[in-house]
Formats: sequence, structure tokens, C-alpha cells
Amino acid sequence: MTNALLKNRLVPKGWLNPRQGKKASSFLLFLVAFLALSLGQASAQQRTITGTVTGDGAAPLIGVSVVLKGTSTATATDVNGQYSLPFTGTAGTLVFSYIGYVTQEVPVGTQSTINVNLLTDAKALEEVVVVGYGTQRREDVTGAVATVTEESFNRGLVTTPDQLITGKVAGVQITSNGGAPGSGSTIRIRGGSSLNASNDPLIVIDGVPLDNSAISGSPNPLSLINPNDIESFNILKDASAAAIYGTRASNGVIIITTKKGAAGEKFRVQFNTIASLYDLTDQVDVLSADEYRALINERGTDAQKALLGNTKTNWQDQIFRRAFASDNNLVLSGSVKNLPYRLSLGYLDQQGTLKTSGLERGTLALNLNPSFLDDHLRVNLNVKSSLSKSRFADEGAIGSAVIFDPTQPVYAENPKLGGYYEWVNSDGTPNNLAPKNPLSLLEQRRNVSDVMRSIGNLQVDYRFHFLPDLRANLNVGYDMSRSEGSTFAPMTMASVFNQGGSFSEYEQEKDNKLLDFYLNYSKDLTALRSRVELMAGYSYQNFLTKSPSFPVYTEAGVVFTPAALFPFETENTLIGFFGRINYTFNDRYSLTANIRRDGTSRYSADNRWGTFPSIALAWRISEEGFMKDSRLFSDLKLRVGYGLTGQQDFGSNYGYLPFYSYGQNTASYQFGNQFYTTLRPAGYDVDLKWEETKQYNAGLDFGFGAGRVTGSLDYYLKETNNLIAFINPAAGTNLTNGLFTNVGAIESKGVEAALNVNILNNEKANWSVGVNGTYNDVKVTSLSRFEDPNAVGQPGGQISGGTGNNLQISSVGFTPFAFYVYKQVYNAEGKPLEGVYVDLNKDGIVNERDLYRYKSPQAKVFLGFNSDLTYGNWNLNFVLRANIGNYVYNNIHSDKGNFQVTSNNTYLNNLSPNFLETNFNAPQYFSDYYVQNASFLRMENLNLGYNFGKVYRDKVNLRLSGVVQNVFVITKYKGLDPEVGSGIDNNFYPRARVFSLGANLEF
Amino acid sequence: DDLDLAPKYDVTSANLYNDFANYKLVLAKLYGGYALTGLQGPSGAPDVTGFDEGKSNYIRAYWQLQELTTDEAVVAWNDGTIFDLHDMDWSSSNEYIRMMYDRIYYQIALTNEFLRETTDAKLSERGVAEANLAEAKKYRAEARFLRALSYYHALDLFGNVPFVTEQDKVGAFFPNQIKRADLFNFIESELKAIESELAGPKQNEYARADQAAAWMLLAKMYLNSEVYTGQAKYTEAVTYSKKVINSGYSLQQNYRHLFWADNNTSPEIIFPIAFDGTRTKTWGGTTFLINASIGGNMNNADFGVKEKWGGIRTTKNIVNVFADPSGNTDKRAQFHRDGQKLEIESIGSFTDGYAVTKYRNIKSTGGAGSDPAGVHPDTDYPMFRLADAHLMFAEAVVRGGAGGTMAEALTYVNALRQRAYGNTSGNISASQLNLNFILDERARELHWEGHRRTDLIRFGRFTSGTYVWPWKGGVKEGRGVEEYRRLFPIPSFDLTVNPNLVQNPGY
Amino acid sequence: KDEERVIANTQGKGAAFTASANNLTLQKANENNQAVNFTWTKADFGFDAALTNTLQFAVAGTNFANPKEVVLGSGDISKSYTVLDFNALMLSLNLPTGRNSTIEARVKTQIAGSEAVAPVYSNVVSMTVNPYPLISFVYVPGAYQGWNPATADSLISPTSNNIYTGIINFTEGNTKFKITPAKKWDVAYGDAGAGKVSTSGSDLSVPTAGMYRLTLNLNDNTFTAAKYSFGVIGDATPGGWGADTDMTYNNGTQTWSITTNLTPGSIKFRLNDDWGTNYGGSNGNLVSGGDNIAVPSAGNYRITFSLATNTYTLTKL
Repeated sequence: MTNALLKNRLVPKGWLNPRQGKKASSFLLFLVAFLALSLGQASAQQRTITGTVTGDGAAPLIGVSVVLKGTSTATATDVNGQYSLPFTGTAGTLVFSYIGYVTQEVPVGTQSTINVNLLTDAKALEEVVVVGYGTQRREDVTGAVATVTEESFNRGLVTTPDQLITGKVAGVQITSNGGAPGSGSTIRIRGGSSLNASNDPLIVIDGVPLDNSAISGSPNPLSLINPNDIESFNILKDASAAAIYGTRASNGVIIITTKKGAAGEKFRVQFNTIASLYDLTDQVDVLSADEYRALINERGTDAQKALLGNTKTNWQDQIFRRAFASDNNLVLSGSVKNLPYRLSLGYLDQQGTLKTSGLERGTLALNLNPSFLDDHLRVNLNVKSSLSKSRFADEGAIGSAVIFDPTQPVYAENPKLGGYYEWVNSDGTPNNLAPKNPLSLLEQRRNVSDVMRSIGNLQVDYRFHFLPDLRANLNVGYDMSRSEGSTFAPMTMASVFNQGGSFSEYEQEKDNKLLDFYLNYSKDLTALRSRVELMAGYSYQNFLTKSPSFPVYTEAGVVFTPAALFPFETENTLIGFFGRINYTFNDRYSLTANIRRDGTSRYSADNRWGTFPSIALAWRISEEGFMKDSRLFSDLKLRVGYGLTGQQDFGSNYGYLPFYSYGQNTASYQFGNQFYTTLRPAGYDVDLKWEETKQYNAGLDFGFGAGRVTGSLDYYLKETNNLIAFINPAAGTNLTNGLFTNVGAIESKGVEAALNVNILNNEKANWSVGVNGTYNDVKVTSLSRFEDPNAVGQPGGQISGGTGNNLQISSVGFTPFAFYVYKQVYNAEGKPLEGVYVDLNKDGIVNERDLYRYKSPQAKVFLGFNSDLTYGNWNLNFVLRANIGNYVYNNIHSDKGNFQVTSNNTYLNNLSPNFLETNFNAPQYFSDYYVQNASFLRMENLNLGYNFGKVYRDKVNLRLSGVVQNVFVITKYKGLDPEVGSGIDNNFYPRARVFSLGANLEF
Repeated sequence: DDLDLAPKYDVTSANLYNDFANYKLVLAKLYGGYALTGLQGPSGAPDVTGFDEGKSNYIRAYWQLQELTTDEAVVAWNDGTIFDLHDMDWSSSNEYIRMMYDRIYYQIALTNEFLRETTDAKLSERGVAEANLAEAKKYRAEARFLRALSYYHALDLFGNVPFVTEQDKVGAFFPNQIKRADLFNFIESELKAIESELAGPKQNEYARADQAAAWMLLAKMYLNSEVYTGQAKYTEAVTYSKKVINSGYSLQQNYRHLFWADNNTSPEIIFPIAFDGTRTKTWGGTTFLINASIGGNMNNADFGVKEKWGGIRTTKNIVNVFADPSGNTDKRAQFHRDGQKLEIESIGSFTDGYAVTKYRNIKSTGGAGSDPAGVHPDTDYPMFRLADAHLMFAEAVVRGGAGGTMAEALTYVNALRQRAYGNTSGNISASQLNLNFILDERARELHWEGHRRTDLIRFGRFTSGTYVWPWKGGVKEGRGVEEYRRLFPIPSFDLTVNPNLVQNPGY
Repeated sequence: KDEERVIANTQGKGAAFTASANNLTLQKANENNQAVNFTWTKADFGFDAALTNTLQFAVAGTNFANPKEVVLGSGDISKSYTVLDFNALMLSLNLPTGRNSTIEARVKTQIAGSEAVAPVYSNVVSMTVNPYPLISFVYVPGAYQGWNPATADSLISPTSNNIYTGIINFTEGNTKFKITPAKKWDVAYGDAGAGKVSTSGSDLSVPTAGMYRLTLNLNDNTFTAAKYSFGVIGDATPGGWGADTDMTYNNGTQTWSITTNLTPGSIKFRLNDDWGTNYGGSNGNLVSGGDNIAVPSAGNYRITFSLATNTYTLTKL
């Protein structure tokens, strides 16, 4: 009955915290206990049993029901989590129960004190789902929504929030962006639906949508949020779930909620610390000094032989290191009178595995959520700020290390060049064409930045006294950042030797302002066996970015490049009106309909408004009469949905406007004796308009075995029309040869499946496993305003080695960014024959017309597997992840694996050992030999923890954990790492294996 | 309205043209479009996208198509499809051809936009009057000259091309294709229409077009008219080249100084594309011509730059047009031979083939140009200079054009040779003045100045197997190639987006 | 790789090669007729390859050590020669004219644009060929005759094997010239340095005035100029036995001649004022190193000398 009462309340966002719900239920439980206590009378030979009930670590639980099993003797815990119960006799069992926690039964012996720690019941927390502008009962959800809460987060040193959920959700792919500190990941939900507009999902933190664009001086915008402060991820995958956000929801929405204080909660201090070691497990394959010397002596010219050094240097050893990181988090939470609060302070100090790189970040998160007017007015205030200092190593040093001659020493008698060995001309000046000493690139250059970011909002929810079913919600928020940085390279650094050193600096301000307002009316029409919810609202967002202009100076302080004439400033605004209706009939038929009308400043007055509706239906089959008595299914629900969303997030804020820009001083033109600033008109498309994505979704949610087995199955189809594409207008028709306009279409379809099984669930052990999989298929369906069967497509995919070589193409009928290559011919031993390709069109010549589309970087299948085993005080869990069907163009082999790399008489370059397999003399960039199968299986995370319980005179709860991240990867791919999002691997920055030791203290 | 936002530091067309001072800045961009590649020098905020910005420089792109396809130049770097140019096996997706095509049409579009915004009606509407009105008309005439120049390049390189003027609006439409002969007529009529509106010879500011520039373009059009339209117009070529010769420009006394950092002081250069080491910077233009031509054991300091890109050099055919390639006799022979082989065994090796030392970033008074880093030259590119008019006159006379005598032609040719030899020892007699001689003399005088492909086509040597050079047709000894290669293909992308276009035959 | 790989048969299978005729007697009268048509099939490397085909001709027995190669178009499967063209091709093999020679022909096939796979060859076709002589000329316009191609002296290639020779007299101060294939300026060979010529070369020249034998080999674009003069010497001549009186050469008739006064006595013919090569004789027939030729009486004589016909004349005017 308690559960029923709870489930019947639609809890708005901000009230999600179970502790608040527990407070309400604990009151009722307390009442029950009181009544029970009043009715029960004492008997002869009575004694009192006392104790404390804790949960979620060491937090005392208020209002836990404590009942002597089989009797009416009962009580409840007080505000300190303590209870006192009269007991007669010598034997019996106490039953501790609390909503959201697993009920525990403890036999009574002769002891007078029994302390209990309740374990969280994960299933119960999933009853309420966070959706756009509110929450919904999971049973009523009609869209494709996935939830990951803290208990399911990946463990270990997590420096950016996206790492928390990698591999956990079907249809969600998270790919690391590289090895640098704080570099974060690329997130895709059900693939992308745009070619040129953003494919990033919308991220909403505590009601504030973020601006995903880059912040100067920060490698990844999410890297400025402390992962320890995050409570949950809710992922809206399909249009019916996401359409309420309209403009930016085409690629899905990720709603992040942060942790909050709970009313009535006792003052609590929590301290987490993790120390981590980053160890590189691999290097780019190059020839060793001995191998290289032998090769040059065999095949090199006399001049090249004369250049060989007499030492052995592993340049990658010189530039990489084992790196250490320390992540510390202190949380203070509690309640002052009726004002719950949570204050979180974090400090991360992370070294990069590339020498000199590092990230130091301090974070602060404050949450206040008081209520007033007899709980009719609820206020939620969130402020999250971070201050980070980064030093960026020059990743070009890795490229230099790969190619630098391994027979040369690290240092040389060369004070003009800082004492580092460099290739020099006869006069001692640096050889401009030669690679530079990698260690010099790292140690002599100083590239630093300071970034401050703050995200906050004030949310006010008012339930009208005269009409309690009507609520008004106002959300005012901001996301602002301030960054500045500089790069200094002394004139002893070879690459800036000629210009006399270099100093440059930058600053950036980004301000994102938000105002949301909506009215929500929800009503149970019990007579009609219906539940209805109506919501209408307004949203305003403004994005402003500013950067001043600075000159570039030489080391001596002379202006080398003058500052730009004007600072940079760009702005765009989004306005939206939205509404939603939720209708549930007979507790089994649910309807959700959304409508959103959005305006953007990026389009002209004629085109700037778009209307984006969606509709979804759900049928809870398990509630039907014919299923009522079935023991097979604990839950069975069918969902179908349709939605239309828009997209306006591409690179330009003013693409529809005809405007002129001033040239810099360095781009003036001479008339007579004067140099005139140039004024250039920009290309524009006055008809630029919304890119629109139609999304269809059909899904099935099911449960078996009394809820021990749950899962879902979804089929989705996305069609994007009026693609915002960067196209080439017909020659002479616009003031540019390339601009954003609406042309073309793209289609994406797939199947998602998820299965969660609770294998063991008893007092001693609990073991759950989860499996999720996605099949995704993306095709370009149109690319021009009129169909040309001979059109090849839109090229892309620039590679290292020869500027202007494009290895990829997006064509009608094919996956975008397919590799566009020649078909390699091999000899009988399986070696590729240099320059020998199949004449596919049989015209007797091998030229551009013989290129063919061969594989693509997009995986067809994504799999995730996770396991969580708790045995007594021990906990073991891991995450496995697999991509199947993705291919990578190994640009390291194609660029460095030919003898011509070393073909120079004034300096020497190392080669990839792939040369020993191919024996290519010249590079063969367009051979499909380099398109390699990059399917993989990776163990993302392995975690072992032990809960010591109370230590230090029972005042502190201690839990230790050990974690390994990036445990192993199994793949056929020959490069460093098979996960290359762009499909072209010219990355030399290896991903590290991370070993962490963590401690959690709570008191 | 919250949604009405505009760039903060840029200006919309409506506001820009209300201030007459801005007209000249827009004009500066029309001229600057040949020298610069974007709003930032040497690169940044590019005008055209999809390519390496430096390679898309107008002068560099034009030079590559006009010179790398001939016996005058080879390049060592295997960048994309650049080797196809010298091998003469390019296709309609060759990126270098497309860079030039995009760059030409970018210029045409910008010029059309300027003309749209400076019509008499608009000038009147904005209150431009009196002296400003006269100035605006000059600007318009120069803009039309620049459009004619770019259309001339389209005519010469591509033949039948899309045709847009200021009557067309900016936006999505499909321009019609214009026939080569009709485009010839359009350019001719435009140049004649503006002739009286341009400043007189030498009367305009340096680097701005004057009447002599228009006459040069007309003379070149007429000299090649038989190629472009099938109709010979050698008499007109004589007429207009003579106008240039009599316009007051004079031969630079020292031939070599024409290509040095202070060549803006030259009395001979009629229409330069101006570069500057600090204020007009690019990775194309003379930056490319100077840095890329230095390699091997060449000394950077001799060229006023600090880099050696080791890319472009020449074939033996050009070395051999000079009786004495040392340059001691004929000063126009400027080759670096030490460490360089005359024979090109491998195109990818800079030391195969003599280096050309023509362009330098040093001043005739000594010292390097103004770039403190020693990369970007001050040297201006001589698109039109008087010597070409001398040779065009002579060729037109030899080809039977009326209005000039062989004696005059001989005088003009020998004036060039006298400058080159320093005395009359190199002078020729009338009996030696023939077409073969003129083609060779154009190579001696004008090599690496962007004329060779057009010349070889006019003389029937470009695709023919009777005249070959190393690696012509992809064969080391050289071979003949298909005749349709006298025109470049329309880039395939434009055929894809514009259904009105028909590809040049053979592609 | 996940797909089945394309394996090249690096041994390859050469084209099947045929000639429409194997026995050819070539005659100038038929020069516009077809002499022979070669056909071949496509060579096979085991996959769809872009191929480069080259016709190779060689004298039988040389095993194609130094073949004459003709590059063929990539899509071609046949090539036809007229009598004129085939005769020129045969002469370029230096076959003798007027009698049968045996040659061999085959097709060489390579994968286009790559040297990773060795070429393969078709079967060899043997042919018997009897070419006819084909005289061809090039012309030498220069300062010595006013730079007029229409009136220029010529060089001759008796068998049209691209090797031309001739003797030109360069007058004082007029030592520059060019070589044109026709009596017009459309194409002109100039000095390409190092003993080479090219159509873009500068003026050719000889060091000093005088008679020179010029040799142009267009097979390798080489050129030589050697001093070359015949004179009469003897007590009957104005210079006596001490000095030659040089004759003038006519390229067209290949005859040296001079008109001079002779006194009774003897004469001989000498090359380059040197006794290494000298001719005597009697009755109008030349004999190398032969006896003195008698001049019976004083008078003004026209003397002619021709090594082509091995004769001389003494004609009193």
C-alpha cells in the first residue's frame, strides 16, 4: 500500500532524490509503528533491544520499520537511525524494511544491541524516470529511455563524466578522443543523422542545456564537471522522448542529474580519494636503431649512410612516461533546519603520459533545495564551478618521435638550439624540412591554459493552493566559462628558430543563458480509470562567445604577427514553445504527445521557426486480463513512437546573412604607396532552414522471473531531410565555393537490445549481469538538388602524407565516409604488389574512375557486457565492450611504411616496420591494403572492492577499491588502437592502462 | 526581436556601401583575390575551401596549370593529383584543376557582387555624387577589367564554361554554359567598353589596372583568337600590342630586377599582382615561386628567404633554348646547375633538373625583403609586362597581321635581346625572325611567368608528338598525348550540381 | 583482409600475337597500301589489370637485345602499317635494302604504372622483309645563306634511318644555323647542349668559317659537325705541291667542283689538306692513293670530284 501511494504520485524533477521520498514514507511508517506500539502491551520478563540502521554506506536511515517477526511488536528508527524495541523471551527475528532497500531479517539472540546495514534495492529506484521537463513513472513511459544510476557507474579514475557510462547502454557509443589528460570522448546515440550539422547529443545538466562547442584552453567541455557529483544519466534515444527539446534533440538527449542534500538528513562527511598510475601498453611500431642502420647501409645512398648516427635512441621512450593522477572528493551534506544542502569539493591532479602534459582541476558543487509555503513552493538551487589549469604537450612530438632517426642522440653540443640534437644545415641553422627533436618539442614549448567554468540554475516549482494539481515551474540557468592561455616557444626551439621564438596568447568568454517556464497539470480521473498530465512551456537560450585578439610576439618581444583588427564575437539565440500531453488509461494504455515550436537566430525571418511534433503509445500487456495470471512475465510493454526534430547546430551563426568582413593587416593589398584593408563579402544562403529528422521507434520492454530478468528490444528508423550540408554551389552562383545549405538526405536504422539478469540474490551474495547490443545501419539517400547518377559523392578524410589526399567519400546509397580506394593486387605469397590495382571499370587504365567504396569506419554492431558480483563484504565488477564491422585506414602504415619516407640526403627519417612486409618504395596512399578490420573486444573496467564497515571506534565507515581501466583489447587491427572514430588512424597517442586504488571514508 | 542577430564586427552590405570610403576596401579585395587566399595572411579565414589554402592561391593555381603542364616546370612533391599535370593524364576530378576553377569563379562572383552594388541606380540612391561618383565609376571599370581577366583565364583553360554576370542574383540557380567563341566576344566587348573609363597608362595607382592593362589583355585575346574562335585576328593583335608599346612603359634596364623584391619600382610591369613580406602574405604567389624553387645545395640567402622547399625546377628543353645556359651571355638564363642534373631521372627528386633562380626576395639595392622571418617575399608577380607586348607584336606581324612592319618587329625583339646581352652581340637579323624563333624567345624572356601552356597550344606543340619534353605523357623521353587535352575538363563537381553544363569532349 | 584477395599471376600469360603477312617485299610504288596488320589478345595476370602494351621488333637472332619499341594504346588490339611506314620502321633497324632480312616481332605487356611485376611477352612472330631505300632530307637554314629555309642546303638520309649527313660551307661571320625537317620554320632543331639537338634548342653553330660535314641522328637527337674539304694539289695547280686549292661541294649532287687555271703538270685530290686521304687515278676514275693525274696543257679548267660515283673530270673551258 505504501508503494501504491508512492507510485501514484507524479514526482516532478528535483524531487527525484529517494531520500525525500523516503522522508514522506518514513512519516507514514512512523505513524504505523506508533500505532503498533500503542496497541502492543508489555508482557512479563521484558528487555529492550536497541541498535542503529544504516544504508548506502554509513548514512543513518530515518523511519526504518523494525518489526518482531510474527508479532505486532514494532517500531521505527529515529532521526539518528536508532531504534529501541521491547522484547520478551530468548528467541525471535527482527525484520528491517525500508522503501528502496532490501528487507533484512536478523535473528535475535542474547545480545541487546543489533546494528543493521541495509542494501539498496536497485529495482525500486527505477520506478521513476527523468524525462524532459519532468519525470514519469517508468510504467507509463512511451519513448526509448535508458537510465544509468550511480550504482551502475564505471569505477576507477574517472576524469570526465562520459567515462561513467561507457559500454553500459544499448544504442549509445562512447569513443575516447585520445590519451591527453581530460580529453574526454565522442558520444553518439543511434549513430548520427547529419552530415555537416552536429551529431552530438544534447546534454542537460540539472535543467541547463549545455553548449557543446569547444572552450578555449579546455580539451573537452564535459571535462570541467566533476564526475563525483553526478547522480544519474537518463538517455532519451528516440524522437518521442526527445522531441520536447525540439531544436537540438535530433541526436538524442542526455539528462544528467547531480547529487543533492536531503531534508532531515544528518550532517555527513564523505571523502573519496583515488590514486592512479597510467602505464602505456603499446608504442607505434618503428624500426629499431640496429634495424634502421642495417636498412640504410643496405639500400641508402652514400649521403644517407654518412648521416647515420652511432647511438640507439628509442624516441618514444624519451617522450612518454608512467603518469600519476590523484582524484580527491570531499562532500558535506545535511540539513540546516529544513534546508537540505550538499557541498562537494573536488581536486584532480592528473599527469599525462606524454611528458609535460597535465591537468589540475578544482571543482565545487553546491545544491540547496528548500521548500516553503507548506511544501507548495519547492526551490532547487544548483551551482557547479570548476577551475582547471592545463599544460598541453605538443602532440606533434609523437609524430616526430615515430619518424626521428633512432641512430641519433637526444642531446648535442648545440646551445643555439637548446642543447638538443637537431638536423641542421651547414651553417648550423635548423633544417626546415627535417623533423624536430621530439624532446625539444615537449620541454622547450610551454602551452598552458586556465579555464573557469560555472553551471548553475535556480528552479522554482509552485503547486497552487487553490488547485493542487496545477504546478508552475520556472528554471533560470547559465553556463559560463572564462579561459585564457598562452604558448611560449623560445628561439632555441628549432621550429621557431628562424622567427626568433614565439609567444602567443588567447582569451575566451562563453556565456549561455537559459530561461524555462512551464505549467503542469496532472490529475487522476479515477472514475474514468485515467491519468492525465498536461504541460505547456516556454524556453529561451542565448549563446555568446567572445575572444579578444592578441599579437604573436617573438621571444624578444617584437610583434611577429599583428593582432587581428577586431576581437571575435558571435551570438545566437534559441526560443521555444512546447507542450505535452500524457494520458494513461486503465493503467495499461499510455499516450504521450509533444509539440515544440522553435525559433533560431541562425535562419532568416522567413525560415527561423520550426514546428516539431511527436507522439508515442505504450501498451502494458502484462496488465491485461489474459496475462494477469501468467507467472512467466513480470512485465511486458509494447512502445511505438514517432517524432520530428530539427537541427540548427552547424558551424556558422550568420550563414543566411550577407555581410562583409575586414581583412587583417597581413592581408592588405597595395594601391600606390598605401596598403588597404580588404573587405570581403561572405557567401550566404538566404533560404537556409531547419534540418529535419523524422524518427520512428518500436520497442518492447519485458521482465521474467519476478523481475530478476528484465530487458528491452527496440527497432528505430531515422530519416533526416534538408540536410545541412556543406556543398559546392554551381560555379559563380555564390560568393564562396562552399557553404552550408539544405540539400540531401540521410537514413539511419537499427535494432537495440538490452538484457539484465540478477543471477544471485541472497544474504550472502548478489550477482547481476547485463548485456546490451545495437545494430546500426546508416546510408546517404540524397546529396544534391537534382539527381546525377554519375555523381561520385562528397569527398572527405584527409590523411597524413601529401596534402589534399582524400580517402573517404559520402555517396548516395552508401554509408557516409566510406573508404574510397583502389583494389590492391597481391602476389602468390600474399604480399601486395606496389602500384598494382584492379582496373575495375575495365577501361584499360587505372585512374580515379577505378576507386571503389570499400568498408566504412562505422561499426554495424555494438555490444556491451557488464557483471557485478557482491559476496559478503567483497565486490567485483567489470565492463566489456565490443564493436563489430568497423574498419580503419591505417595511415601510419601508408605514410611511414615506404622507403621514400627516408628518401632525403640532408636528414634521415625512420620507417614503419610495415615496410618490411610491403617493400614499397613509394607511398601508395589509395590502396585498400591499408583499410584494416578494426573490430574489437575491450575490457573497459575491472573493479574489486572491500567494505570494511565501521572503523576507528565505529565513527568512520571505510571502503577500499582497486580498479584497472583499459584492461585489455582483442582485435585484428594492426595499429595502436582500433577505436578511431573518424576512420583514419594517424594517431600516435596511445591509450594508457590505468591502475587505481581508492578509499571512501564516511563519518 | 531576440532572434535578429548580426555579426558584431563585420558589416552587412546595406551598411557598408553607405560609407564611400569602404568602396575602395571592397575594390582592394577584388584585386587582393589574386594575391591573397583569405582574410588573414599568410593563411586563415580562407576565401575558398576544400583545399590546402596555400595551393588555392590564384597565382599559384594558375601558374601550376600553365607551367607544370609544359616543358618549363616539374614539381617534386607527390601531393594529391599534382603529378598528373606534368604527366598530362589529368581527369575531371583533378584537384588542381578544380582549385583554379573555383578560384576563377570566386573572383567572378565577387566582382559581380561589387558591380551589383555600384550600379548607377544604387550610387544615386546612396547619394554618391560628384568626385565620389567619378571615383566609383573608375572602380566599376576596374572591376569589369578584373572580371574580364578571370573570364579570360576560364576561356583559355576551360573553353565552354558557366556564364554569370551582375544581372544574376546570389543564390541557388544553374548558370547557362557559354560557348568559347561567345565568351571571347563578351570579354572583347567588356574591355572595349571600359577602355575609356580606365585611367590612362601609368596614371593609376600602382597595382591598379590602367588602359595599358586592358590593351595587353586584348592583344593576348587577339593573338590567340584562332585557337579560341577559329578566326584569326592578328591585325587586331598588332594594333593593341602597339598601343601598349607606345603607352609610356619602358623596359627595365636590368632584366633580373624585374623579379626581385623591389620590382614595384619597375617601369616595365604593366599589371602586377602585389605581394609584401609583412602586409600581403600568402603561401602561394611569389612565396611559392621563390621558396619552392630553392633546394639542393642552393643558398637561401641569395634569394632573400630562409626556407628551402625543394619543389619546382625546369626541364632540359628550357635550358637548351639558351645558347649559353650559364647566364654570362644572355642574362635571362638563370639556372642553378651546381649539384643539379640536367636530365630528370625522377620527377620526385629536386636535384634532377636545373633549378630556376629567376624569382628572388632581394632588392636591387641589396638586402632581403621586409618579412622578418624570411619566408614571405615582397616580390610582385608580373602578370603583364612590356616585353610580352614586344613579342606579341612581332609574332602578330610574322603571322601576317597588318599595321606593323617586320622592321618594327625586329626592333622590338632586338630591344629585348640587347637588354639581355648587354650589347648588340645577341641581335638577330630579319631572316632569323620566324615563328620558331619567337616561340623560343618567349621561353627565354617569359619562362615561369604563366604563358607557356597558352603559347605551346598556339604553336601546335602542346599535345603533339612532334615536340616533346621529359616525362610528357608520363614517359621519360616524352610522348604525344590526346588532342582534347588542349582544354582542361570542367571539374566533375560542377557537372554534378549544374545540369546545364556539358563536359569538354574526351573527358 | 576479410575478402578474398586478388592474387596476381606474376608469371603472367602473354598475349597471343599474329601478323597478317610474314613475307614482305616492300616497294615504293605501293607505299600507301597496307603492308602488314598485327593483332594480339589481352595478356592475363590473373585479374583485371590496366596494361601497357609495346610492340617490339628486332633482327632475328639477337633475342630482342636491343629492340625497336612502339608504345601502343591501352585499349588497342591491333595495329596496321602502310608500306611507307613499315619500310621506315625496318630501315630504322638498319636492315639493308634490296635484299631479304629476317626480323622477329612480339608484344611486351606490363601492368601500367608499376614495376612491381615483370613484363610478360607474347609469342614471337618471324618475318622476312625486303625494304626499299628511302632517301629523305633535312634542311639547314642559317646565316651563311640568309636564314631562308626555302633556299637552304640540305642533309641527306639515304635510307631514311633518321641519320642525315651533308656538307655545308659556312662563310666568314655566318657560322650560325638551324636544322628544319621541311623548307619552312614550323619545326626547327637547335642546340640542346652536349652534342644534342632539340626543337627548343638555340642556334647551332660551327667554330669557324669553312666546310663542314654535318651529321644529325634523330634516333638519339645527336649532332656533330666536322671540318671537311677536298682540294686539288699538284704542280699544275696555283699552289703547287705546297698548298691545296679547295673545291666547293654541292649537296644535291654530292660532287666537289672548282674552276681554276692549270698549267701542264699533275694534280691529286686531298682531304682536309692532309695526305692521309688522297686520290689519284686515270681516265676519269678515282683511285685511293693512286697515281698523279696529268694535266696536259695550260688553260682554264672545270674540275669535278665525286666519291659517290668514284669519278673525276677535267674539262678545259
